[in-house]
Amino acid sequence: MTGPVDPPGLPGSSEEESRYQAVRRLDPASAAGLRELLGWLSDPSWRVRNAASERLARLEDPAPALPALLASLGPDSFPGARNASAVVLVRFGARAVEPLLDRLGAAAPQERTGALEILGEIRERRSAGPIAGALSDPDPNVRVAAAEALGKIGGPEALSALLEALVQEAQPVRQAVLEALAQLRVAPPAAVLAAIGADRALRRPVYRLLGLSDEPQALELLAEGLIQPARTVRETALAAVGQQRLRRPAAALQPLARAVRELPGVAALAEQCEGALKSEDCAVAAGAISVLQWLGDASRAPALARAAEDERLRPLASAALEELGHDLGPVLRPLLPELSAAARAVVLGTLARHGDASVLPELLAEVAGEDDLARAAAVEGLGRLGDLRAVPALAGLLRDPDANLSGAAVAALALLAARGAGHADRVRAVYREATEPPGPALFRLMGRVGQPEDLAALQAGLQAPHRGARVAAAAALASLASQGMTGTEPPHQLLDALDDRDPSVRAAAAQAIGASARALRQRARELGRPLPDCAEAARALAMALRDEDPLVRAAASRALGSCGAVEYADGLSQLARDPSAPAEAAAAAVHALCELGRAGIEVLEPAARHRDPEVVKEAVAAAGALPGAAAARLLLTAASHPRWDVRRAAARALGQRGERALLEPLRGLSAGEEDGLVAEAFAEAVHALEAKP
Amino acid sequence: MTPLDHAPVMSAEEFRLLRDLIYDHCGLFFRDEMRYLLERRLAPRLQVHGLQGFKDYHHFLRYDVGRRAELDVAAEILTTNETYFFREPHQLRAFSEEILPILAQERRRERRLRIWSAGCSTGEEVYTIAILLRSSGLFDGWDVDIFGSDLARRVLALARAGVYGANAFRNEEAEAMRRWFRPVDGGKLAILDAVRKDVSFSHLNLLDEGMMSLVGTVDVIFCRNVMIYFDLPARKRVVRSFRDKLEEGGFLLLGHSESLLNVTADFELVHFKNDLVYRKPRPAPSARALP
Repeated sequence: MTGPVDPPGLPGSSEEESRYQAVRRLDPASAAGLRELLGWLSDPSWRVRNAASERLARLEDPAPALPALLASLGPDSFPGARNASAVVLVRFGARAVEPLLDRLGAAAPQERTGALEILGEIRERRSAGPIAGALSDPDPNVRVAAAEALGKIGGPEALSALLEALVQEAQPVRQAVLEALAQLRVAPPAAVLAAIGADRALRRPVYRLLGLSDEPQALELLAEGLIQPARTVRETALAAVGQQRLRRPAAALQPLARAVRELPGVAALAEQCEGALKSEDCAVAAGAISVLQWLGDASRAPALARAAEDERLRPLASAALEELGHDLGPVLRPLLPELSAAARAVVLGTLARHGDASVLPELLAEVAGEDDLARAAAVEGLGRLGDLRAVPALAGLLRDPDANLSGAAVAALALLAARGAGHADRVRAVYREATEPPGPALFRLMGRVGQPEDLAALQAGLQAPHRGARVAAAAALASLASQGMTGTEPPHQLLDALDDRDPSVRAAAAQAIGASARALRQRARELGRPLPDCAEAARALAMALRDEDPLVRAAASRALGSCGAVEYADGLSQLARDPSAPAEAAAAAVHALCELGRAGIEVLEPAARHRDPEVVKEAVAAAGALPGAAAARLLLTAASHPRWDVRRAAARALGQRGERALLEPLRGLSAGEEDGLVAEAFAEAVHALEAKP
Repeated sequence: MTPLDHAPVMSAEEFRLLRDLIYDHCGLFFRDEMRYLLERRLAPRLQVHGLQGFKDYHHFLRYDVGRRAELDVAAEILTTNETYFFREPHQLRAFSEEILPILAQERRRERRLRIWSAGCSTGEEVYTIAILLRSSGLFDGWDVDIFGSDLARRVLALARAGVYGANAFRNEEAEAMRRWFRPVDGGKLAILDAVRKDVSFSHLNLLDEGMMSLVGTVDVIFCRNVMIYFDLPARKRVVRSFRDKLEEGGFLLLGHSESLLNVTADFELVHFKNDLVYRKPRPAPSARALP
């Protein structure tokens, strides 16, 4: 062991420290402090420059600092000072945009480039137009910087400028444009990309964009990318395949799977993919897993099992292993000791799904292990294996204090029961032969696999001492009622449960009444029979609208909607319009009125002004289906709501209305939208309305 | 109920709603690429509460009586990560071979050493630190306190128990640590009482200023692979707290993929032989004239 040392970098730091502390004491609001801070931006130490930037960025009025900061962007400045000034200008944000836009007319191209870089970081949509103008700058470096800035800023103006430049420009500006489009996650038409891809130097950004395209032609082009001569291009194509896989359902990628299988030299491709499984880039590894899955080479199963060590890749690895075939036991079992519990569970689950009965002891051992995620996965594996010898272990888990695990055991037992009458009887014996009073998990199991003869136990369960058990019994009763096991009306025992001493049980009972009423009405419609008489249930639910607990009132409201109880619409309207009503109850009332076809504008307008966004979203959803100018106005107002989720709901509702008169305001809203998810909804709505005649 | 053979899918909208709720509850921030993690880890909660999908789960977390408890459960599920002894060996070598001798020298008068493992999970890091300290022989007879904290109460119970399976010793360098454990039932190993008494564990949310005020000053902070759950403002808050809690000249050890770039300039980056480590600067000896 060595003695104390002064590591390199520590000695001598005290001088830097005193400069750093001096900077931290300066006040940028005073003229002297400002002058000194601007001077410190040229300090040789990054820490000192950074501290000066921090202080300057706090200026309420940046005007006095702007001339010096802009001047230091010039080509003759010390690079450290230039960077530190840029940091401050970025922190000034919108307040620095105008002077920076003025710099786009500077004589030196470096100054124009510097201004564009900062404007890109500030990301002000209003600067997109002038920046788009810089795409015609005589200096190619400036054009590249303009493309990069537009890629950061986004919005319709930036996008159309970039797409236009893509066709007109040549390398290297075209490369910057492609990268900018990739950053905005917007893929140009596949045919355009195919043409640009003729230039070898542009293939990497082209493949990156193909990963974002939904066109069938893009998938064919991607397959070709996997066998390109350049390793970096192949890797980009693999990442693009991964992007496709991570964002689209597997079924949509079947053309790509077919194209991959038809590629020449698949052995080399598989080898390359096996190496890429270790990539730090999740998309590359995801692409490699997908390709190996499509190639169907069982000898790659151990590599895929190791890929399951990464939690991000685990579901893909699991799906790939499952598709590789039924005889993976001999290649995978030797691997088990070296895998972590979670990856082991994936392997065992795969073998279980393929009916490899020999994994039963290992799955049972895993269930008794210490890793919670692995235990849950092993329970799932036992359910899929379909071996009745797993029933005692699964039954034992129904009383496990970990609710995730007992829930997984319920699901596994239900899966076992679905294998046939014999299996179902064995599973039912778990609760029918139980000697201890049933707990919540056992009631949930009854709800999944129960029969009419179990109704008495469930009704008794509504009186169980444990609140959780009563809640679960109510839900289970609703489940059996939905299957027609209790007659044509919601079970009356649930009505009694509306008087339970515990609000969570009363809420569960109301939910259960609603669920059974909805299912019974649906069945009656399908069979062409008269709708069930829910009058008694509706009366009890209407009384529950006065319950002291808002959750019970909310559940009762929704259930009234499910019962089709139009006679109680007035009570629901009062609740929906009451500004002092708890949010959950008001949202449920609006939802129920919508279901009853009674959500008029007089209800929706106040609801749309509610302080809680969930109530507003219910009103917005209902207004989407309500004819008339008032409803459209409500939606346009909601489309400018401060909450992103309300704006998104409004965009969708506006699109659903299908009124072409809304197209122009929608375009305006779309152009000004900063949030990606909302912008996507606006774009879809605009597209939907444009398609209308 | 959620059928087992159709894993529930979390839409981008549901992800953001859930992410925002969790952020408001405890300050944990999940980046877009962590959507899958939320989907996978929260799916069992739908089974538990009999919910159809993540939209219902969001509703549950907004309005149910048990929402606060469920938010605690969700935060715990989402931040629980498998760990093991002697993780990130380069940094631990820098700690044992380079940092500990410095601290032994600088704190020799007080003969007192405080080390905090912030986000200690099931305790492997805390016991690794304790064993490295004991193995160094530099602090015999000192007042040593190694303190582990975590947001998740469940993992703290495991940490306090100090019983580990073979998987926790998977790292080659951890093999030598086995001598600090005794065998117990089920082929597991339990930490020796002599080491156990050097350490303590406590529940702590790094973003809760009230809780943080209860933590005293320390010489070293380990906070590895925790900041990935914070957005930039939260990172800044936490690092500011670390700066306040560290003695002058104290060390901050982050995960290998984490840095203080764009977070703060309050720490020096020290180039040790084995790794780069952040250090709270010692005060300048005297004020100097400004240029």
